[in-house]
Amino acid sequence: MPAIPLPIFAQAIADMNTALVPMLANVVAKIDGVSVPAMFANAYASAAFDQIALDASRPTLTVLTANIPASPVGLDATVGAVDYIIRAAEPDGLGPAGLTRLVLEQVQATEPA
Amino acid sequence: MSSNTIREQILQAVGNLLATVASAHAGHYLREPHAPLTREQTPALVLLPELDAVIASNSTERTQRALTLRIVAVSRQAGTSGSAATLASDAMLASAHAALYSHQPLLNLVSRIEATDTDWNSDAFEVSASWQPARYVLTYLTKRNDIATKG
Repeated sequence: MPAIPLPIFAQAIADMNTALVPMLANVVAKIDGVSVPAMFANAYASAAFDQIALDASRPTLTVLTANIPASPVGLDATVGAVDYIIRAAEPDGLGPAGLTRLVLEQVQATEPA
Repeated sequence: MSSNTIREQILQAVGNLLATVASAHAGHYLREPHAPLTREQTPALVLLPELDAVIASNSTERTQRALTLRIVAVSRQAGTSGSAATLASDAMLASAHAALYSHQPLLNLVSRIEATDTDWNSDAFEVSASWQPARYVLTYLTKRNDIATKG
């Protein structure tokens, strides 16, 4: 059976993501050994329990959903010289044409970039 | 010369023993930190005084008091989704608990040490972090009219 073409708007989103992600990418990450253009962020984060807060950061990679395995949680991801594991995957709900934010955790403690 | 209250002397004794325990776990001791703990400050044992209450005052000369405090073990561990951080905090708390019941300067100040409750908290950052607070109630006596003198 021939593939059903995407509706016009969905196709526009897919085209936009495909064009924009390589342009907006600030790293080429290795996800499960495969090089993938990605938007890496490692913003300051702080969580507090009662009177005790911690300085920390929350590293994430945003990638084209089509560029990563269907079940990425638990896979290795490398950004620069830092090795991570993928702790969570947060797809935007647009299917393979959409974007997925991967939440990372360092394999070894190092100062975040 | 004024001296500190017995409750402050107790807190300092607890702080001294926590500093020793934290050091043995390659960590730091902090009391009531006002700024977020940096990466360099963890693992840590944190002392949080909570309440000092009169529990008996039926003597004309002595007042029995209960000092409630929390000892919080804080750890961070990479690549383990939390389990190693939790275990590291737990190990520090176990050492702190044992030290509380064997630290003679503290035992000279208090008549009873009671562990009341423990909690578990964790969060995921670039590495996993664990907070484990344990609450203790330390009973002690002061003069009724002088909280800086043992009763």
